[in-house]
Amino acid sequence: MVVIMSASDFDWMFKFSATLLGVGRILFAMECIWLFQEYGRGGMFDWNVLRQRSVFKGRIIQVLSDWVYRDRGMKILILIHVLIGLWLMISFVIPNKFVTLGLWFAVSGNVVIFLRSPVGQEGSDQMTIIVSVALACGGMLGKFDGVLFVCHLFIAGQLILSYFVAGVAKVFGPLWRSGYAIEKILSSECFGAPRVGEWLSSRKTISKLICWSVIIFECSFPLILFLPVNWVWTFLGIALMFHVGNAILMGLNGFLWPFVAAYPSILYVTQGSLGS
Amino acid sequence: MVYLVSAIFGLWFFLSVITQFSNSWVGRIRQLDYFNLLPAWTFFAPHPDYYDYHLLYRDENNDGSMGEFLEVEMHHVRWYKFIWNPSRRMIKSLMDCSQMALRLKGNDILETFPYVLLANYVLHLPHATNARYTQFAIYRTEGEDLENAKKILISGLISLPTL
Repeated sequence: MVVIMSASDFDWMFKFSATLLGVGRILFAMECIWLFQEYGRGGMFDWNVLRQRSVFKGRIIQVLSDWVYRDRGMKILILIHVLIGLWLMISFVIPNKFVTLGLWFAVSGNVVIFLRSPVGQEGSDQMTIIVSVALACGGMLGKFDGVLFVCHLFIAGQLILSYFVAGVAKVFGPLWRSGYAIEKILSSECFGAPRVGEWLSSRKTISKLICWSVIIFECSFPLILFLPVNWVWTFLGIALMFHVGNAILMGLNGFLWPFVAAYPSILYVTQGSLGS
Repeated sequence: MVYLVSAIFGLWFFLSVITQFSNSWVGRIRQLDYFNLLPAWTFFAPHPDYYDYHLLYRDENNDGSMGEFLEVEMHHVRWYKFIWNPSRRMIKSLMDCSQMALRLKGNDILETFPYVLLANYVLHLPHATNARYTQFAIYRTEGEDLENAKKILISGLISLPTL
């Protein structure tokens, strides 16, 4: 079935993704506020230690980074993240050029804050940057032929790569192949749900089924590029449920927003081009 | 313009692909990735990290012996973690530091920022009165099996500031 995507569909996708990124930024900023004492003296992200890294060598860089990353600078940075998040969350009611501007601010804010500390970050932070940069680029340079497609292709490519690499890596993992991985992960306190882990430990068949379902889904995700539209939505729906499940069981709530923000790019690449 | 954008994103994607593999020159590329632009998509695979990491510390007693290890509580996981789970950043930091420690051997670790970060963190925790030294350790456990905890790292004696 050939689906013609209209300009308003693309516009909706752009604003939808930006809104989700905004929610993610608000969540991140609230986490920073909650953990603010860890950015101070004696905290897990103490600037007095982090500033010793080689990336901050050089007098001018040290002066600038001290200004940005010390107490007052961090408060301003976090406030900026809150404002950017709120800005992106109203994407549906502001013109696209302001959404694009908000995305560029989000990219800048992300990069500055991630530079501060290489510990404590996760894959959701990386997908946030990827989607933000590509969307911002598309928003700014979309008037040039082909640029919008390249930007969405990049996002779609990274999304497909993320699932595919995770799936292939699992194939090489004995615990995944044998079906023990999910049970063991969920049995941990850090990123698990011990009661669910315990429940699964006495149900090996279910545990193995879940492991292989995840592996098959992730490894087959690249097929989404060649499927009819109904199957594209099915794949994306399964992926969404996967992230919701990770949030509920493992507390990985940060992944939901940037990954789902990338989904419209799959639609653009697979469905939008059919209409051209 | 499309060629420029394609080149930039193409390079970024190419680097993203090759840095999914583990070898020495990929490690060097990652060391230069200060802005964290190159993703690592091997989540919990091929070997899922299903361990719990524990940060403990102890002080020197008045008689010079070392006291019991006390655990620093970081696992504030609640039922609403699917909406709100900021402590995962702390746990992730401890995991990152632990995994760096596992890769380094001997005295190489002492001047690395993960070690210094943890030492600094422990220094600012409450300590016994008049203790001159403290020491921290990272252990990992599997589920509730505390008896088979594996030692990841035990620091040397760290001088406590005198008042």
